[in-house]
Amino acid sequence: MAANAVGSGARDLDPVDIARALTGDKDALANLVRRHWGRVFGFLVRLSGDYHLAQDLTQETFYRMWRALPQMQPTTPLTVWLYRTAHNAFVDHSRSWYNRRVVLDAVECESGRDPDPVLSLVERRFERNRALDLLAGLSPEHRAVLTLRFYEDLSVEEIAETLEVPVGTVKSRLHYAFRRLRERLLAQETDLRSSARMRRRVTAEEAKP
Amino acid sequence: MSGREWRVNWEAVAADLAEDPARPGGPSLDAWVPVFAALEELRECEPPADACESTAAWLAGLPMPGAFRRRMAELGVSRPRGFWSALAVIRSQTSVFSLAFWAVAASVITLASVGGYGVLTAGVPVPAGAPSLPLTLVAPLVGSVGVAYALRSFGRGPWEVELSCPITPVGMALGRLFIVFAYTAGLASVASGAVWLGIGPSGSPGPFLATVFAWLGPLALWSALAFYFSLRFSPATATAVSLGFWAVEVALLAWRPAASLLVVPGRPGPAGAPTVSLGAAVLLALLAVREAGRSAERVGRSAA
Amino acid sequence: MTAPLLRVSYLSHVFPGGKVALRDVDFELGSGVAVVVGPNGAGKTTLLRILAGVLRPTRGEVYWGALPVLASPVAYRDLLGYLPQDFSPYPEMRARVFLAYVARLKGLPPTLIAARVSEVAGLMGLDETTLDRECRHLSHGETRRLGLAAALLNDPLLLLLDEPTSGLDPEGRAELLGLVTDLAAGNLVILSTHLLSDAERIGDHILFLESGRLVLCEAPSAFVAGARGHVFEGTVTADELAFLERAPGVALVARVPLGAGRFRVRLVSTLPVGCSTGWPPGRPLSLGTGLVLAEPGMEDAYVYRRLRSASGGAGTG
Repeated sequence: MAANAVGSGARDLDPVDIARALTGDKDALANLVRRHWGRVFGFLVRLSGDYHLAQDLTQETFYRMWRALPQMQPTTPLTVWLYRTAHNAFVDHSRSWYNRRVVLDAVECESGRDPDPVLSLVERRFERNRALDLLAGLSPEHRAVLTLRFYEDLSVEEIAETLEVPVGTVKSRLHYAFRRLRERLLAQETDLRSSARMRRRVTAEEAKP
Repeated sequence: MSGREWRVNWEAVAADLAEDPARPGGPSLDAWVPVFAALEELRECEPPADACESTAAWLAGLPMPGAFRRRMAELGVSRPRGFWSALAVIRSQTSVFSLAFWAVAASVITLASVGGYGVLTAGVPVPAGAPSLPLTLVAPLVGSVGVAYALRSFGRGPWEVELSCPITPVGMALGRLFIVFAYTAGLASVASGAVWLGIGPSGSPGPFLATVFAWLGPLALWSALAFYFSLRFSPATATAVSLGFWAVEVALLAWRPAASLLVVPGRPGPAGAPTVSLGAAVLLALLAVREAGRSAERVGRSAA
Repeated sequence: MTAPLLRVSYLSHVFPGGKVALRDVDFELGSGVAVVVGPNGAGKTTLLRILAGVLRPTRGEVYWGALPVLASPVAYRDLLGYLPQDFSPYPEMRARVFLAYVARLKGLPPTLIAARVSEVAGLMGLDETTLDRECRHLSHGETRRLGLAAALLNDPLLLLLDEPTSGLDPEGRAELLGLVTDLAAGNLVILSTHLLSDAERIGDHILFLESGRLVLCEAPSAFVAGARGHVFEGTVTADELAFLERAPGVALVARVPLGAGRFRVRLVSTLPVGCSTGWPPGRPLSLGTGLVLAEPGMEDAYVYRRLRSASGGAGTG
């Protein structure tokens, strides 16, 4: 299921379903969840690199949506609110998880050696998938911006509104993120070519009488 | 996303990246293609099949604060006013009375009327101006015990919950008094009518209205007595006082009828004691209402 | 800061016998969960009764938004739900009938009562069989849940719960606290409790009452932080323990015998760190005696506040 399968027509249904959900209409609440579950889950998978964590955080995001429904401003699109909340849920989780890890297992944390302790801990959760592997090389802030631009097709201004940062910050993070990915990809390809040449040389040497 | 949409998306992202001040005029779209292609591996993220539905079901089970109020606002529901408000109060207070109350009250009144009928048809002489003597004796008893029973929760039990509702304690108390009085008076009226019709005007000791007023005054007085003592002291005190007064009256009837309030010999018609009884009843009820209005302080008194 | 939902202004109450239950209690609360804590007789129940409109205070005023509560009691009670500490329904009434009765008292439209009763009963885990039982045949837990269901009938904006978890097993308590948190979204829930763990778990504000006075009204984190630097734990001898038990400004929170005349203790002290008043000479009441500074918890903070009140607010807190 593509994360962006829902078109703008369906999004126009959000205010209607929100109003109905506020009167206790359980079907309307379920509609909201079904309509946006995929996009939130996808965003959190790319942000966290962990399918199980993404599932938990998606549920947390929708719980926060449920709690905030009575105060939700009609001017803010629900999608923007959900992305923002999902991002906050991931950040909250990272902080608490990091703190627990640091307190419980300072030796394994290696916080003294890595420039980004959270990143190093998160890295261990990423599955061996090329895209996830590329994303693992970015900080959560850069991953969030890249994910929202590339996968969710939000504009720079929409991303700025979602993450509540200046447009300039979004642009600089976006540029940095893609530059970094390109460098990593080129480095991986160079490593692959070097490994291939090394294997050919070894094979050739072994084949010599 | 279709292949064409992917391409459009890539072009749009590449256009954003071309603005990178670190690399003015930066790599072309073709240079970004390997990166975009690699990222496309994560385009499809299939969540577990039941995860979405289980989340929806879980959220649906949570209470949505304010939902019921919004539904009521949508329906345009408003609180009844005036007469309809009084009716609503009385309707709400009927729940306080158990089936046993309705049954016992009806049974006692019925027995009294059957007894009275038997007395009259047997030709037993009754004091003049004392028609339906059994009803005259029994109706006040039913009224007073009924009122004490109705007010059993005042100052205890569910009283705090009742006080916290948008209904005044005076309204609740008066509503319950009205129910007991109206029910007892209704039963007694039906019983009086049945006895009177059964005997016939020629066999009756007096006009029908006189038979009604003979028990109406005492019923009002004893009910008001119980009402006041229940609110001023407690329902148990009210029951004891009411029964005590009633016992005294029965004794007076037997040995010194002239001193009795229940029956006034030689004074047929709606005059004398019944009027005094009704007047005293109204006074006691007003005093009781004042006590009901101070019920919010009684909760504190019991807690001190 | 958003406008407060509830404003209590110099609330005082003296019972007819002269007992002072509340003295000049003054606070403001927004949406969320406010937990009222304090020792027995502190005035928690009196405060909740006044806020529920069940008790008329001797002095002071209560405002819900712009609505003066004491002058408009019926309009105010329209938006609140209350669960008293000693809640008991009519014993001979069936649970469903009791809920319908309270629904009528709260002015619910007759056509909506049956559905609303089912809705709140379902929320509180009261099934059809339980609803058809007479209230006298309900267990303590079922009765508490019935009381809470009655309080929720009118979808209150202000929910007042006096010791709602008393008598509930841990599972029931956790369930109820979760429900309270959900109900507090956009609304105000005020509950009193003896269990500080409940306060820590769900409280957005702590109201600490003592002898009728409001000692403080703050977030749980600030409440706990106030005791930082005054909580110690470590190992002491029997003599040192005896001394600690007598020392003014010191309260033992926990003691565990370790054998051989030694005890593991956790204590709260209003004495400054390093102070040697009354302590064996040369041994400050802190590092070096076998006692080390400990991170305070809710219970420590509670004991510390009580200690400070008892010592007249003295101490370095």
